[in-house]
Amino acid sequence: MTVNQVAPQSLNINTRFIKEYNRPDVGNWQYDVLNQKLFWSGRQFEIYGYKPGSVRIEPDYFISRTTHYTEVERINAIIEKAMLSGNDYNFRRRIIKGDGRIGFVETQAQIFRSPAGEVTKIIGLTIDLGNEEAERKLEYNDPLYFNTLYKDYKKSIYNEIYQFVYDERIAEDLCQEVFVKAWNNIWMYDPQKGKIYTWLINISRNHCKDYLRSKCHKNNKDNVSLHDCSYKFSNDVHDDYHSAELKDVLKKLPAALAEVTQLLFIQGYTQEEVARLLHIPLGTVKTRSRQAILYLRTSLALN
Amino acid sequence: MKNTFGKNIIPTDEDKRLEEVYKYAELNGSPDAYFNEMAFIIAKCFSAPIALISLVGNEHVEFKGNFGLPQNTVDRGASLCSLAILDSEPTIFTDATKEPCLLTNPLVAGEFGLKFYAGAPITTKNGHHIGTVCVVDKHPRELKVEDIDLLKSFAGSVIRELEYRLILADATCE
Repeated sequence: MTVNQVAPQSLNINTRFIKEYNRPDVGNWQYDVLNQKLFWSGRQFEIYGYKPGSVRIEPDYFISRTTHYTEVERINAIIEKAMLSGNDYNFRRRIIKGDGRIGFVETQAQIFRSPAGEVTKIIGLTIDLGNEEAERKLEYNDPLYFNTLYKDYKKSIYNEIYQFVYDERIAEDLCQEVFVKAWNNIWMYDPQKGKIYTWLINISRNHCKDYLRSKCHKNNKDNVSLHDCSYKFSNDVHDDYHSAELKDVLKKLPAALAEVTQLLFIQGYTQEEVARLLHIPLGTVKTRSRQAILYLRTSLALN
Repeated sequence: MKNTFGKNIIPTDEDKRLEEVYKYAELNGSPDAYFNEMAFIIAKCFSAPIALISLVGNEHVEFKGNFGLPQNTVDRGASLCSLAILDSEPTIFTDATKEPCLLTNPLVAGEFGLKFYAGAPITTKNGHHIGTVCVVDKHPRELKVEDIDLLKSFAGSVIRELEYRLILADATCE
């Protein structure tokens, strides 16, 4: 009688891993790399929401069909790295179960190599994390996926925020804050309710509304420039009293005179300031203001 | 069945035990891919040349998971697994050549030269031992308590897997 398989070499299997592997609530799997065959235990099927043996498990099934699409890239990168280095690996990820529900699992795997260094087998286990606490921790150690998300969407999110605040510096700050918010709450994202971009846009809109209502924003408003302030003040006054009448008269003024009148009598600038603003000599400002007054006096008297 | 052990190897619950064996698996001489992989892991864990997941039938012992042996069935009267299912605790022969009941066993005395055997029974929820998870070596060995626990935990995994498959079979029948 002869032995038909090569005897395993020294004990290099992690006993802690095996203890987990045999835990009743843990699903396990073996991947025969050379023959491209993947085997799932009954519990593994159950964790993934299938009846044992009810689906044919293809080798690529494990990642492409069960991993939530937002995480495929991150998971593939981890596995690729492990295959190259030959080191054991583990990761947490969001899965899509057979019935379409979302689940959270931790995968631990050990890689076996032939004496020539070729990866021959991978054995692994799957722990169902299912509870909220585990979900919260899901992304903490895996920033790779989030980096991609940030790169892809920061411009769109920034533009969206800018529409609210019209200030580059504030928009940039808010954009950062939106991504921090998303990072901390990624576990709340449900792909069945919409795309990740929509989710981010909603966060940014809410964040902008919060900001506009905030004390910080109100304080900033106290520091707006004199120009904006005086303009607003003047507008408010005339809106309340003779705005309609005055607007009609101003419309009749030649453009050059109207401009000076607006700045001098409505926004309250001095003649020197108007000269500086419009880049015209002080004398011209005085002449135009006199002409405007005469014109207005005549018009109003006629009215 | 030719009994080589010189003692009774039929447990008292044999009829019900056999019923359960056939309930969980077909004894058709073909191994199971999943259990074969598990046998590989067991062999790796124990650094042993042979690891088996066996089911003890009426006449034969069949290996559903087999790492290291060329054949998938052995006569019940010659297989040490037949002894291992008599006890609810693991059966261990650290040096088989010193065991009187194994002196005439062909695996021990013959060309194969079995020296070490450790087998934990696979026990159903009704308490019947349908087979074993065992490790075999051609050199005498000692086992630590934690190694024995490990073997038992593998036996636990096997019965859980069989239970899951039974659920599937029932579901398919409905």
